[in-house]
Amino acid sequence: MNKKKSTTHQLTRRTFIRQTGIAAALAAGVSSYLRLAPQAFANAGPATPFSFTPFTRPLPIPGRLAPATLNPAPGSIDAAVGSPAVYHGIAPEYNPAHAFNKASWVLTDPSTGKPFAEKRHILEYKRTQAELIPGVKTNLYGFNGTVPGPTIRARLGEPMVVRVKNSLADTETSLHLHGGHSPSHADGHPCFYVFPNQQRDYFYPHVAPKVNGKMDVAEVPSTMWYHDHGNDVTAFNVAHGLAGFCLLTDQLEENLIKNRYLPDVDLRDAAGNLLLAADGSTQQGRYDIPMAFTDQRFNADGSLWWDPFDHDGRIGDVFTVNGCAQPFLNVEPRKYRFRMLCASLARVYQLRLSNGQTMQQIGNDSWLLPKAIETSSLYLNPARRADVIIDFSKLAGQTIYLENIMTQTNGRKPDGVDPKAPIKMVKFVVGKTKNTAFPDFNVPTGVIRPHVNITAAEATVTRYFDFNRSNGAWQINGEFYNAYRCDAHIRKGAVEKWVLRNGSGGWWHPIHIHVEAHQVVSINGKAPPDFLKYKSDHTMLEDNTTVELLMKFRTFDGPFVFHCHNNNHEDMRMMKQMEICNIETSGATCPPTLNGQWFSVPQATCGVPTDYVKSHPGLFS
Amino acid sequence: MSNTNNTLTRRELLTGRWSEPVKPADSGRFVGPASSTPGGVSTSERASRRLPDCVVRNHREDTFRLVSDLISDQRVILGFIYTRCKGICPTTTLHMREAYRVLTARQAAPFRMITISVDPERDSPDDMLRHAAVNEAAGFPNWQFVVASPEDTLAIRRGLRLVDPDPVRDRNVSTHSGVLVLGNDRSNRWGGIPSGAAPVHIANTFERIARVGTLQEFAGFGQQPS
Ligand SMILES: [Cu+2]
Repeated sequence: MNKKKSTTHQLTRRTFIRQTGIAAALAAGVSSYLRLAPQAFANAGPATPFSFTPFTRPLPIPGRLAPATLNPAPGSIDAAVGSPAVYHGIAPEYNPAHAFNKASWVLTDPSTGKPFAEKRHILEYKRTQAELIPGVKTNLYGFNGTVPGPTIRARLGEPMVVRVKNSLADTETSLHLHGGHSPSHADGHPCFYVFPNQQRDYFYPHVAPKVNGKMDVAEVPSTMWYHDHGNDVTAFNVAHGLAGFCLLTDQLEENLIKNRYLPDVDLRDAAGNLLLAADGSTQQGRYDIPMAFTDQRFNADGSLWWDPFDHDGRIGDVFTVNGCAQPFLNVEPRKYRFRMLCASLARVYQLRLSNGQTMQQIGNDSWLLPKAIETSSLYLNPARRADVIIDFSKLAGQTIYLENIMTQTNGRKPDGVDPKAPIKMVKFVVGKTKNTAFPDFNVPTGVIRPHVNITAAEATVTRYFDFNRSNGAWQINGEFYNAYRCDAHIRKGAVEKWVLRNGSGGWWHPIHIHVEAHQVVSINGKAPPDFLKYKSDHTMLEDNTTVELLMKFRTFDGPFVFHCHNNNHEDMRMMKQMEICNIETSGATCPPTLNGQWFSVPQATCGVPTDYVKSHPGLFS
Repeated sequence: MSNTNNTLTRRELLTGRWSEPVKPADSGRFVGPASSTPGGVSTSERASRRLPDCVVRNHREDTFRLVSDLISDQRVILGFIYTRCKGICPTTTLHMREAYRVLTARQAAPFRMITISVDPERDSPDDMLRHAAVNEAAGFPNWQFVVASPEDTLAIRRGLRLVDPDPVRDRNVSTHSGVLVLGNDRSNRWGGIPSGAAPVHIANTFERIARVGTLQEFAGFGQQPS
C-alpha cells in the first residue's frame, strides 16, 4: 500500500515541482516528503468525537490591542523590579541613562512632525472559553481572553510598553515577540517569568539594527507574532491559545501602501482617515487579513486533547484558522494580502488554492521579500509566516478554497505531499462586485524591501550545532538545555556562521533563533529556495539535513535562546542559551572563553528580585 | 562503591551499608489541598488513567497496583532501567537518587519515585534490589523499583509514549528511553526531563511541574473558567 501511494506521490510530485518554485528549490528536502510513516505509529491520539458542517462561520479577524493607561508609570520606582505593582519591572534599556540611549531610536511621526510618543498597552493571560468547533465550548487560555490574542499594531521607531499580567493561577509564563528585535528582558527568555498574578513591563522599542547610525531599512520586520514561551509549558500554552499577531510598518511599507502596492494595514475610510474601535484601538484593514493556522484535537467534553507524555509533537485532526474550525471568508473580486502563520506545534502545511491559481508570496517570516515570488503552493511549518497576495479579481461569483496538501500523522515529520487528498482550510466566497471607494492595489514588481546580503567572508566565528535524539530525549550537541550554561558567547557586532546539522532520518526540527534575523546560505550544500534566501527567524531542519546560515548580532546584550520550535521538543530541552556581550562596554569581562561554561547563577532570571532567585533556585533551570 | 556482591542476602541488601534509610517523606498519602472537581461540561480524564492499573512487584517483593497504589493522587517521578544495562541506566538511578536527596533536603512536599524495569523478561525483584543497592537507593521509603509483566510493561511504555517509532529499535532494550516522567496526578500536570540532566535540575523541574515546592497548585485544566 505504501509502495502504491509513493508512486502516486512521485507522479504528482513532478507536476508539483514544475508548478512551484518552492518545491524545486526545496529539492534538498523534497525526497523526505515521499516517505511514509509506519502505520503502527501513525496514531496521534483518539479522533475528535465531534462532527460539524464546515464553512458555516465567517473567519474571525482578531481585534487590535487597545491603548491603555499604565499606573504606576513604567520605569517609575513604583513599577521597579520587586514592586507590588510590577514585580518583574522593565528592561534596563528603558532607563534613559542606559547605554542603549532609547531616545536616539525614536523616529519622527510623519503625521505630526514630532518624535513618536510611547504607546502603552495591557495584555493579560487569562482563562477563557471559545467555540473552535461550532456548538462545542472549549476551555482555553487567551491573551485578554481572546484566541488568537489581539493584534498588536506597531510602528518602527515608536516605542511601546506592554504591561503583561499573568492571571493564570497555574503556571509561570513568559511572553516572546517572535521575529522581533527586543531587549533581553522583554524577549521572552523561557526563565524570564511572569509569575501567577504578577506583572512585567515589556519594553519594545520597535527598532531595527543600525547601519552607519541609521536603522537599516532592510531589517525592518512586518509580520511578527507573539506567544507564550514559559519553561516546560510552551507547548501546552501555545496549543491552548496563547498566540497573536504583531504587525509593524515603517516609512517604506507605508509608501508601498500609499502608492497602492499594498492594501491598508489599518481600517480607514475612503478619504484615508483611521476608523477606530470604541476602545480607541485601530482596526484591521479590509484587504489585509491575518490567518493563524492551528490543528487541534478534542476530548468528548469539548476540552482539548492533550497528551502530557507526548514529546514527539502534537498533531490535531481539526483545522482552525483564527480560532475557528474551517471558516469561510467573503471577499470582493480583487486582491487581498494575507498574513499566514503556522501556529501549530508540529504540523507542516503545504497550502494551495483549489482552482490551481498561483499566489504571490511577498514576505517570509517577519520580513517582506526583495521581490514577489509567484508560487502555486506555500510551505508553512511551525512558526513560519508567509505574507501572500491572492488575486480574486477573475473569480467574481465563484467559490474557491485554501487547501492543505501535506499529510502528517505524527509529530516527527510530515508523511508527504498528497495533492489527491487536499484538506480544505478556508472557503473564499467571491462576491460579484468590488467596493469602488477602495481601489485595488498592484502586486509590487520592483524591490519590495531591499536585502543586504551577508557574505561568508564577513564571518569571524563558525559554530556547529547538532540536533539529535538520545534515549528518547532531544539534544543539541549532546546536551540538554540548561539556564546555568552559556552555550554560545557572542560578541556584539560579530558576523557568525552557524552550521545546523540533523543527522537523523526520522525527525524534523524547525530551529528558531531569537533576537536577530538570519540568512540561510545553503541547505545540504545547495542554494535555498527563493523565499528562504533572505531573512528568516527560523529554519526548518529536515531529516539528514545540514543548513548553513549567517547572522549578525547587534543592538542588545544579554541572554537569548535558540531552540526547536516544535514546542514539544523545545519543552524537552532542545534549546540552547547564547549570551551576547558588548565588547566595547564590557571589555575584559567579555571573554570568548565562556562558550560552554557554567554560570554560578542562572543568567535567565532577569526581572526577578535576587532574593527570590536565591530562595527559589528551582524556578530558573 | 559500585561493585556488586552477589553473596549479600536480601536482608543485608535492604538493611546494610548498601542502603541508606532516610526519614520518610510522608506516610504514603498525599497531603495537600483537596482536588478540584472538574465542573460543568468537563470530564477530561487524568493522564495517568491511560496507563494500565497492573500488578507490579517491587524490590522488597511487595505487590502494588501501578496506578491506584502508586500514582493516583501522588506527585511522582518515573524512571526506566534494566539491570544489565551498561548505558544510561546507572546514570538514571544515580540522578534520581540525588534528586531525591535534594528534594528531601528542601523539605519538598510528599512525592514518590518509581523505577520500572524495561526488561521484565529477565529482571526479577532480586535484580531490581541489587540494582537499587549498588546505586545506594534501596532504602528510600518512597521509591519502588518495580517489575511488571512483559505485556503490562509494553502497555506502560505505550501509555507514557516511551516507545521508539522504529519497532526494531524498540525491541532493542539498550536504546530504551532515558526520559524521566514527572508530574502531579492530582493536578494532572505532567512533564518530562532527560534522566541525563543534572540532579538539581531534575529536582527543580519536578518542583515547577508537580508543585512540590512552595508555589500554588496547578488546577485541573478541565475546570470551567471562573
Ligand atoms: Cu525538534
